[in-house]
Amino acid sequence: MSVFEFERVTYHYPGDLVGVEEVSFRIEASESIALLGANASGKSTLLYLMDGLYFPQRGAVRAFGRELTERALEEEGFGRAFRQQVGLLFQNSEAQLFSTTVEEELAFGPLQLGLRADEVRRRVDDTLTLSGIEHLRSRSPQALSGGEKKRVALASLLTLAPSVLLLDEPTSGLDPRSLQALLELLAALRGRGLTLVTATHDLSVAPELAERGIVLSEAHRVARDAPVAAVLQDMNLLLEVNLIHAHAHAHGSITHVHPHPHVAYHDHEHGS
Amino acid sequence: MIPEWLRPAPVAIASGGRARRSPVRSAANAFERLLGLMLRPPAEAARVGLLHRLEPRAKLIGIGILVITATLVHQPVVLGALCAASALVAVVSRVRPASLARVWIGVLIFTAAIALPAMLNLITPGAPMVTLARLGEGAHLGPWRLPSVLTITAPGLLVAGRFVLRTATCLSLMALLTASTPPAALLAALRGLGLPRVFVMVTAMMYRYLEVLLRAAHDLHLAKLSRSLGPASARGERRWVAAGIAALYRKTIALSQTVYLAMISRGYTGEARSLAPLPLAWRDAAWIAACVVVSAAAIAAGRLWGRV
Repeated sequence: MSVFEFERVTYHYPGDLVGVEEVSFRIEASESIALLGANASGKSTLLYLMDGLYFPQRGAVRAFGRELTERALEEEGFGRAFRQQVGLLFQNSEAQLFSTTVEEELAFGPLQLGLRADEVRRRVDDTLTLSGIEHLRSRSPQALSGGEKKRVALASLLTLAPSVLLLDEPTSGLDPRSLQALLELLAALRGRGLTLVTATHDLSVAPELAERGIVLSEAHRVARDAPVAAVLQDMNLLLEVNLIHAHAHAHGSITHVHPHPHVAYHDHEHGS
Repeated sequence: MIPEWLRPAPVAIASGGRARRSPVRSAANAFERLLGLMLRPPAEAARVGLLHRLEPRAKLIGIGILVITATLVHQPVVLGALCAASALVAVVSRVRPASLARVWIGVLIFTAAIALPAMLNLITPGAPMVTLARLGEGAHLGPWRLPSVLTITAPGLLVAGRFVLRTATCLSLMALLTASTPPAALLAALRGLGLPRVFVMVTAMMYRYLEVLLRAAHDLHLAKLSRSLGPASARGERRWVAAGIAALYRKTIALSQTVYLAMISRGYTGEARSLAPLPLAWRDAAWIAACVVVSAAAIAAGRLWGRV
């Protein structure tokens, strides 16, 4: 049974702004997927559709073999199980951290699922330790740095013990140390068999986050679905979907044009 | 192609001219100060004193009892004693004297403005204590007839003194509570005392996102300042303020929608649940008992002195 199955899914925002168009793919348990695409290509929309926050106007999204509809999620049994199984890390941590303290933030999800107070406290304590944020327990989320907010937001999902994590640009705005800590934690979770779906336009972290890449075009459609390594070697595709760009620059007397990803530093060979 | 006009001109920094502080700068500074206050680590709340060691619910109950007592007692001596007791608790709790001094100065300024007329025979008749002015027979202030001699009366002084003392006592007690308890703990205490969860949750979220909106407003003002070359017309400023309000409103709506989605994503179905507070310790019970004793003593003393 697939974790997610998208069948010709189309979602338009109010005002007929296209979110995604005719998107089809399947995600199996324990897979790690990178959703790759330029800004506004529909990556976040796909995550919201997977999390049952948006519902398609055409086509169908299935999760754990059941079609994701408002009605299905309103059923107590399925709704509860789905929310426990699937955690979404929002791009804007500010929106995700709405409680007054870090401890309450971590307890929010398990409490909504009706877990016993002692079990909630145990999960909160363990997750604070696992995420290395025990010292933030009583702090208000508003007083945290960007990296700390991201870690707390991820920890607030882990207390639900999900089997699927949907991550929306998890590495954006992180300093090198926070980035490394996050990548290590996500690698450990992958090792535990969690299904990870990460939306990113940062090609430098894609191989560390995923084995399979789903590339979205600027027309909001799936342009390619293949192993990440193969996707990253397909320069024509990456140029076409605006994940890399070609530009001219000079090295001494040589001026040439070549494509490269949107990173500050890159290596390349010089021809004559 | 970069247009011709976009070429760096020779730098000519003029000096002199009239210096005038921009209202946008003043507003940005005000936002910055407020943000600083909100984000400052709660130094007072982190100190270790009598009140800091108490569970916030116990503090709320105890201080609530004392505040209600202060509103029931009429005798200035008893009110003064309660006020002195609050100062004593502040000392024992190592609350900065400046925190209380700020409250008392504020009380004096604002309550004096309200209480001053009540001291005069114009409002409270009675035995004169100090003569302020001889107005003569038939003096009027608009349609109102004034007494021939304007005096401060003994009953007037009593009314004003009681008012100032009661306000000072209540505000000192509340200052002790807020100085020794972080806002998040206070909200948790309110929830622990049975206030509806939704009410506490909405209040907590309002407090939480106030900082986000303040920061957005602050950045908006700085962005305006960085591109302002001189004073704008009043009409231009009004248009900018209106556009700023609209931008903030849009941000608020977008943020509130995302927050709601984030809550749904983590299992929220309309009924807020929260961690049950830990049980009260013996020292919390002792504090509440002490407050009850002080309250009973104050009411008894009030009866002894006159009426309660």
